[in-house]
Amino acid sequence: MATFAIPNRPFATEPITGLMTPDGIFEVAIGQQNINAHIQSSSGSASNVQVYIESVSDPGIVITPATHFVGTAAAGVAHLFSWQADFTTASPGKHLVSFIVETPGGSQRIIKKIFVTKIAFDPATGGYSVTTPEGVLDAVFTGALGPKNPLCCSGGKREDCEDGLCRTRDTINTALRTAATLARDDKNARNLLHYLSRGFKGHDPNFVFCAPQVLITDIEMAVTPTPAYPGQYGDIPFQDPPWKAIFAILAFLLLIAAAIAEAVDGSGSVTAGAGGTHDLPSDTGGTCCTPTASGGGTSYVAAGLLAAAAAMALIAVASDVRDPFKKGQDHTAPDTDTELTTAEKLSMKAIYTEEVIPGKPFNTGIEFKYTRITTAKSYTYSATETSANVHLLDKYVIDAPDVVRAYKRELFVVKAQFYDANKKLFKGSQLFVQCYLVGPAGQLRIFKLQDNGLQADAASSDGTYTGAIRFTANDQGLWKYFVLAQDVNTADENLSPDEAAQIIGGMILTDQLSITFSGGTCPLIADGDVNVIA
Amino acid sequence: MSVQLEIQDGSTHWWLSPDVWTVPGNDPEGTPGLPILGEPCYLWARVHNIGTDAVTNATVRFYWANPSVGFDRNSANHIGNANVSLNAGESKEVLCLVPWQPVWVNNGHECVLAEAFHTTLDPLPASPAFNVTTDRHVAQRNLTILETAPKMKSFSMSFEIHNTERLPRTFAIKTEVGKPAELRPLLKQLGRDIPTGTGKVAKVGFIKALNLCDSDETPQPRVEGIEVAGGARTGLTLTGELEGEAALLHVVQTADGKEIGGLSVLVVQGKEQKKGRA
Repeated sequence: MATFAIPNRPFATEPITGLMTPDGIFEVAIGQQNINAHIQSSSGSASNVQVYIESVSDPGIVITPATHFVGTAAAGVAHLFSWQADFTTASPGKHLVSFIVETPGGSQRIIKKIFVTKIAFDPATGGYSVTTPEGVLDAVFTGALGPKNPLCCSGGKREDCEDGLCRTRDTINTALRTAATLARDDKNARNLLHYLSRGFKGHDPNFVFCAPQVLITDIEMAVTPTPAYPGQYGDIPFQDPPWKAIFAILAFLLLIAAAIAEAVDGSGSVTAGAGGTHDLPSDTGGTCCTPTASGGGTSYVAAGLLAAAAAMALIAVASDVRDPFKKGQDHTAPDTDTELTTAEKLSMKAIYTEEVIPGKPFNTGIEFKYTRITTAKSYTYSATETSANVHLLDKYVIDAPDVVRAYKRELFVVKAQFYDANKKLFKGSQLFVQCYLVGPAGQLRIFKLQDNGLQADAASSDGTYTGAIRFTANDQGLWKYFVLAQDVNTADENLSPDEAAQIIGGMILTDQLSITFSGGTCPLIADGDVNVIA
Repeated sequence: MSVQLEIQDGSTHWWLSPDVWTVPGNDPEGTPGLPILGEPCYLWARVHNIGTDAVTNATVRFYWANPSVGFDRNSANHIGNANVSLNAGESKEVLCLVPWQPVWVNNGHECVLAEAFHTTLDPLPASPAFNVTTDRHVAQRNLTILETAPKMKSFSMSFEIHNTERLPRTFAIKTEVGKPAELRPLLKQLGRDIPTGTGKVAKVGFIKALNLCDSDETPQPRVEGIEVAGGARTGLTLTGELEGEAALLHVVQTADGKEIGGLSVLVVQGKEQKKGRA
C-alpha cells in the first residue's frame, strides 16, 4: 500500500489575487480563502486516489467539503489540492487539519498544522494589531515609498491637485472608519476585508489599479508577549514564523486592500495619518516608478504582484536569517533572572538602495531601534545593517502556444520551468505556480500549473510545471498571460522553532512587475499573449 | 441512488454504541480512553455506508450532552464536524479534530453522540430530536466507570432526571444487571481493561439523598411515578455494593411505558482513586 505525506505546511491563498500569503499564513480578516496542500506518495504508487479534508481543530474554520480524485499517484510525486474555507469566525492560533487520502488499499489520515492570524484596525492610532497565541503585534506604518505622481485617477472622486500632480485624497483610515461603520450596521456579519474593499464584488473588469504607495519604509511596532516572559528570549509566533513574517502579512494584505480601496474611493494609503508617502531621498538620484496597469484582470495581477513584491522586500529588509526583534533580544539580555519582559518595541526604517525585482539578488538596508521593556527597566539596541533578498530565481522559461482555436476545442497548455540561483530546476512541491489569463475585455482566469505528470503535464517531478485551460466561443481575442511562481515554506516539522523561523515561504520569484528607481512607470510585463480564435 | 449512513447503536442497550468513542489527551490519534476532566478529548465515530452507492463529502457531527437533560439537536453541545467519503458497504473511522474540553456537569456523567448524514443523498429526519433507537444516522455512548474505594464494597453515583417538555411528565427508573462481557465490543475504545474476574452487586437501588450515609432511605431497585414539572429536574442516587471484581449495571428510564433514556455503569473494585466517564 502506498504511503502518503504532506511535505510542506498547508498554505493560504487569498481570494482577490489568488496569491499565497506570506509564509502561507491564514488571516481572519480575509474571510474566505483557500487551504492548499501538496499530497505526495512517499512510497509506492496507487490508483484511484481520493483526497479530502476530514476535520479542522477550530470550529470557526468552515470548510466547503470537496473530494479530489487522482487517477494515478506515483511514488514521490506531489499533487496540489485546494479547498475553500471561511475563516471569518476563526480564532487566531495554531490549528490542525486532518486530510484523508483514500486508495483502494485503504485510507490514511495526515494531520498538519496551519497558522491563523487576526488583524484588527485601531482607529485611535491608525495602526493595526495582529493577534497570535504568543503575543499581539501592534504596528503603525508611518512611511512609504511612492511615486511623485501615482496617476491614480479613478472616477471623479479624487481631489484636485494644486500642482497638477495626482495624489491620494485621503488615507486608508477613511476606508477603515467606513468599514467600521458598515460592520457595526451589519452586526459584524462579515470580515474586515469585506468592508474595507466593499467595492470588490468578484473580479470587476472595470477595476483600475493604482498604487500611491509602493514599498513600506517606516514602521513602529510593539509586541506584547502573552504572557510576559523571563530571560532573554520569548516565544516566536506559533513557535515557527518570526515576527517579520507577521508584519509582512499585514503589509501584503493592506497593500492589496489599499489598491482596491484606492480604486473605489481614492483612499488607498496604508500609512497612518495624512501624508507619509515620499520618494527616494534626493541624494540617491533616483525616483520611484509609478505602478500602472490597464483595467480589469491586469489590474488584479498588478495589485497582487505589487503587494507580493512589497512583502518580499520587507522580508529582505528584516533579513531571513534573524529578524530585528531577535537581534534586539540578542543584545538586551535582562540584568536579572527575575525581570519579566512585558513589551518589545521596534522602530524600523527600510532603506531601499537597489531596485526591487522579485527573484533577483537586490540589497536593502535597515535602521532600527529595539527596546525591551521589563518589569525593572528598559533596554535598547540600535543598529544599521544591510541584507539581501535570498528568494532567488536565475531565470524561468515559458512555453505556450500563441494561437488557440477554441472552435476546435483546443486546450491552451502552458509549460514553465524555473531555475534557482544555482541554475537547478525547481520541482514538484517546491513551488506554487499559477497562470493568470487576462482577456481583451478585462476578464481574469487563473489556473494552477503542476509537476505531477497528470493531464497536460507530460512527466512528473521533471521541473516542468504544466497547466491547461479551454477557451469558449465567447473568448475571442488577444489574451495576455502571466505565470507567477511563489516559493513554499519547506521547513521540516522536526526543526526547532528558531531553525524553522529562518525559512519563509510565499515569496514571489517571478519578475513580471519590477519596482524600479528611474522614474516612469513600473515595468509590468506579461509572459506572453495568445490569440483565441472562436 | 441509495446512500444509507449508519452509526451503530449498542447491541444490548442502545446507548452503549461501539461506534462512538473518545481519545483523551493532546494527541487526537492517541490511545482511546475515558474523558479526563481538565484535559482535551477527541471524539471519533465509525460510520458505515450500508447503501448500494458511494457517497462523498458526507457530514459527521459530534456532540456531548448531559444525559439527564433530555437533549436534542438544538440543546446538545455541538463539538464540531467532520467529513467522510464512503463507498457502498464501506466503514470508516472519522475523527473530529475540534477538542472537547470536558466540564463537570451532572456529577460528571456526560454522554457523547455522533450523527452522519449527507444533506441531499441521505438527510437527517426533520425533527430536532435524536431518535437514537429508530434513526440509524445517530448513535450515543453513555457509559460510566465507577470505582469503589479500595477494599470497600459500597458505591454510589448521583444523576439527574430532567423534563425538557413544557408540561409535567412522569418517569420511571429501574436498574438492570448486565454482564461485563456486554462491553466487549467497546473494549478497544475504553482505554483500559475490564477485570476478567466476575462480581455481583447487592443492595442496588435508588435513593433521593446524595449519599446513603446521610439517609435512612432503603434503596429502591425501581422507582415509579417520578413526577417532574415542565422544564424542571430532579435527582437520584444509585447505590449498591459490589462483591467481586466488577459488575455492570444499566439504569433505564421510561415514560409512558417507553424506554426513553439510560446510562450504564461498570462498577469495579477500586485500586486507584480515579473515576472516569464517557
